Amino acid sequence: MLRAIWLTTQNEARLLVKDPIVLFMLLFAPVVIITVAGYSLGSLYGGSANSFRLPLVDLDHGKVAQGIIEALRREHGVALEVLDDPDEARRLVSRRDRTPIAMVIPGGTSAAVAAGGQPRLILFVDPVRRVEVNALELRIDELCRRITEQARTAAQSQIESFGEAQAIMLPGDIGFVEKPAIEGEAVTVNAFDQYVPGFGVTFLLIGMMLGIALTLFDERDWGTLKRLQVSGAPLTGLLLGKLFARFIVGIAQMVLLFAVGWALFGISLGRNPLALIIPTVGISFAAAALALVVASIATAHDSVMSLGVTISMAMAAIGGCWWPLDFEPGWMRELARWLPTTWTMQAFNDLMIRNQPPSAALLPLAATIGIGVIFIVAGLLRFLSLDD
Amino acid sequence: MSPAKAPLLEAIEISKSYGARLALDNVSLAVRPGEIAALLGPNGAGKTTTLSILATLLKPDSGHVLINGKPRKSDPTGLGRMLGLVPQSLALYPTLSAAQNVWHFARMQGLARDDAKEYCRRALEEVGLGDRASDPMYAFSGGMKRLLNLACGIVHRPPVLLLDEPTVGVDLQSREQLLALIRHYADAGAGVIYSTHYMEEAERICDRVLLIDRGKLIAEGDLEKVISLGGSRPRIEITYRGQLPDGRFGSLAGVREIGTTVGEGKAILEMNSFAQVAEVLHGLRTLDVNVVDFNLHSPNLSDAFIALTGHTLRDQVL
Repeated sequence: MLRAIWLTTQNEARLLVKDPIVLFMLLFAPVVIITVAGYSLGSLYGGSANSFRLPLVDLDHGKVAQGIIEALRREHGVALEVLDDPDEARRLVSRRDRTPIAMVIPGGTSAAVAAGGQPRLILFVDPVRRVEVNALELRIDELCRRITEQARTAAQSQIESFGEAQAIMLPGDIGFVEKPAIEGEAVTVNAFDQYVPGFGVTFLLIGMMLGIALTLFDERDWGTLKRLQVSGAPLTGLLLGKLFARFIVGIAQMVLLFAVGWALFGISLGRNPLALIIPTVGISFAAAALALVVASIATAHDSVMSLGVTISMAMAAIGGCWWPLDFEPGWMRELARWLPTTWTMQAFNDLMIRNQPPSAALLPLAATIGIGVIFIVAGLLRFLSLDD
Repeated sequence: MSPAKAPLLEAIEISKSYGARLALDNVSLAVRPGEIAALLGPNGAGKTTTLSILATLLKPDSGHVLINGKPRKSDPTGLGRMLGLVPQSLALYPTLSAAQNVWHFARMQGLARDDAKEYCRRALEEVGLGDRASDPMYAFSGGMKRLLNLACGIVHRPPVLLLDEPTVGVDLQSREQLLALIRHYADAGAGVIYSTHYMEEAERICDRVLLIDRGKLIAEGDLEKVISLGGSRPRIEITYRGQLPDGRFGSLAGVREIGTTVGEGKAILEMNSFAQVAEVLHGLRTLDVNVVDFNLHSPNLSDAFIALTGHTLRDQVL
């Protein structure tokens, strides 16, 4: 049995090396998708994946304008560019560069605030880029609210101390301190911290479908499996050999993705990067076992991929690989508890973002391995019954 | 070949059904060292099912298979490695090179690393692919793929070789090479079961013939014996123009009329020997039969098959 497993593993390695398209799918396609998703949806996580250029014209030159400019300079993902000419700011928006919005602080804004008026900032927006405009407007709105509140608080205290005759002082550099509820050093969540493990797991599942389900079906079709069985090699040994080879490839695939994510996108690897191997081992095992099930129930070559990809995509989506699990309705979150992807993403998030110790990944590992064992037993039984 | 030698592989009263369809009905057969036994029958006759059961890939509903006189389960690996299967489909890895394909099967058949290297080289040389060892299998012609398929089956020098339609789709040159190699392999002492629906191949290289039809073994024996089952006398097939005389060919001595298609102007006459040909043609002229063409026909396996089953080897069994 062990000889059959080992020789099949070696042959799988030869087959993999001979198939550059599969290698591309396993290693480079995830990097491409992660890059696209990270830069496209970075604002979901408030990270610095997206950097908007924000042209600003200060016609006020007062304290309110100064407060707005300073606050904007501290905003993540906003590259402030102070201009003199409102028309130039408007043209930058219409030129469809990375400027969905431009701001003009009209003259007299500070004076109006001091007088208790309601001055209005002018925003030039690109109506085509409504989503980005809305995201930026939310942040500008919040910023204005804070400045107004600070101004009122300051004015109130001055009124109480010195009476109404005193000039109202505009607020200084008052902000807030964000304290993430995690242990250890605070981290800024980057979209890639979610997408590298998320899409990594997605492509791991798809890779297993290509590497195990599809090739097992091919081997049934070609007759190589039968032919090898004549030699006395047990079918179980041949199947486990195939699974073991792809299990190792799956681990290597995830390790490479984390390395690329760290080098290119600066993702956090947590307090102990080696601990990431724990959920990686779990999901590689479960994914390989799932591919065996798919290979055993598919009835035609084409149905292997359609069935396999559908199951992989659904598992990845429901398990929180593409968006936070909290976005999903309650019933879906309940369903997710039974998926290996959910436990894996929980472990990756705990280790990478919440700075949890390696022990936090042990329960998810046990759950993932448990689900994988169910898959592998079902797949082997089904294959053996087909063989009979 | 010596009939006294013990069978290397034996099927005893095996039957197999697929649902309601009886694929094999109480078939017994054996192959001995140095012997090529042709399993001859039309498509769908049960040849592949028989080979699958002999290779112990398929369990029969009843009956059993003995390898070297023992059931496979008494030593699954050791007895399994006595068999070399060359399936009808190309059971190979398309992206791997010829050498890598042969290497994988050699290693799976239990050859040690050092031995496998030498055995692979020899197998590829024997099938004429020694100089193409590094080329991927997908780049080979149909005939070369078949030769590689054979190399993977013989690489570990099995005492029993099971060949399932090995020449299907093979060009003439590769076919000749393949047949010569199989004969050579048997002459070296192996027992070969050669499944085919090509009568000519069975007649050419096989020592013994097993005629199978609709899951039943309908005849078995050496070539002469099986051919004689279909009638052992030579025939002359004539094409004539005009009318046949009253009483047809009854006046020709030593000649029997097998069949005549008056509309097509064709008649088949059975003779005692080919020495009668001139005499028969002269007799036909005497009877005023205007013979425009004739063919001589030796009795063969096809005749035997038709005589025993009522249909030809080329027919598909439904």
